[in-house]
Amino acid sequence: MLGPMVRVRVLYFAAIRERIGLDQEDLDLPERTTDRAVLALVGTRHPAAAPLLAPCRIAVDQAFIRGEVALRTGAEVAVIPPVSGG
Amino acid sequence: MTPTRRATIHDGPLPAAALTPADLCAPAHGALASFIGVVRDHARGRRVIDLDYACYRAMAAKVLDDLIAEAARDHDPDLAAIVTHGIGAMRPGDASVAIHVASAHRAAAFAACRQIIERLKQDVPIWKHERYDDGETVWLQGS
Repeated sequence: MLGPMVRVRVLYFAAIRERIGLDQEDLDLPERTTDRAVLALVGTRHPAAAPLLAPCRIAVDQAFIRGEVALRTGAEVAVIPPVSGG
Repeated sequence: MTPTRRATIHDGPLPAAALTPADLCAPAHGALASFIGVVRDHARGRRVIDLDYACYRAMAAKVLDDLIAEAARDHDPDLAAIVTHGIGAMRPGDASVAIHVASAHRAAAFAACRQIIERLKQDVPIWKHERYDDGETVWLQGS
């Protein structure tokens, strides 16, 4: 049982963006999900990016999440590859 | 008086004004520590021609604010800090990040400044895209 789905905006950056060829897309995700489940879904949708996703983190509405999360409609869900600022 | 705390994402290399801590110190501050990150001309044995910093802007500014608050919590509730990170195209010698921290004493100023740059490198959503002299480009993963 997936439960209710919500439409969210998924953002891609850096190597992931380059590999997928999109900077964002709207996807229907389960309202109750986890960071790893979101990454798995992105990998299934975009197999070319799958090898790069293991070290990625997920941010929801500009904050990192870990484990379970409750998504709201219109949430901003970002796939964050390991950062390299500074 | 509320200490100055400011985090900014700047388009392009940092201007001279971002490299100096201008109005950061309050009368109670006896120590000021600064860190400035500069683009290197080499990385992992390769010659870097130029690079591009990509950024998740809305989140980067928030995380920088959080890191300043965290450093204040860990080192000095009266900490003042200004952090500026440049994004976009840069060349070796350009300043990409500047962190200025003021505190009553040097131990807290050094420690907070160090903590902010180390945490920035873990959590601020900015990515370096390097171009080498053989024309290849690479997105750096982690640093």
